[in-house]
Amino acid sequence: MSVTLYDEAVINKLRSWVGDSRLKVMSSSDVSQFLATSADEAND
Amino acid sequence: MTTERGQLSSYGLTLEANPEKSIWLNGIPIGLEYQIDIYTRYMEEANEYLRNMIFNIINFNRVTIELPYYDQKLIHNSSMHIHPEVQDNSSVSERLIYGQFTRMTITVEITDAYLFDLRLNNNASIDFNIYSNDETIKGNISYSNLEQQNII
Repeated sequence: MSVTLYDEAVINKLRSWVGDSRLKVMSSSDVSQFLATSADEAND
Repeated sequence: MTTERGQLSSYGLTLEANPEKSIWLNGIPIGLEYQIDIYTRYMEEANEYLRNMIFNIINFNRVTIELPYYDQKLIHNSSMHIHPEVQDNSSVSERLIYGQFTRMTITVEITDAYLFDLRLNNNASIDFNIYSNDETIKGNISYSNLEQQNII
């Protein structure tokens, strides 16, 4: 379904703006990992 | 979403038509809305990220998609527009402890998006000659033409 194409296009656009900074862009499919990712990267 | 039948949704746009193949692009106009949440530890960071994000969305609002169907590599450009409201949703849950992070929410909308459907038809044709005493009749039957007229 072509809606997915727009989802990916918007996410990729946001990621291109963020670049290699410490800001992470997460799509709706990644958002369940939000707190887990933060904890892992902080070596908690 | 436009729920009524239209020219583009039913008949489509003929991208290519030759004796070998015909390609149609059908589309239904839709609107898409995305919520963007910016999570930071402190309010100052959130304001800076939000400021940059708003400038980027307004100045570089083109959203480009490439249709993957039948390896045609068709490109369609849309534009996204930001809603004027910015919400501070830091007090909303989805956190471990109070004050864990600042959360700013903005909404963007793509108003000229489409649901696309690309159709490819491999054409076939039959050339024939009919001989009679007086004249020779030459003709051609195209499979795709007959199909479009609902003859077969």
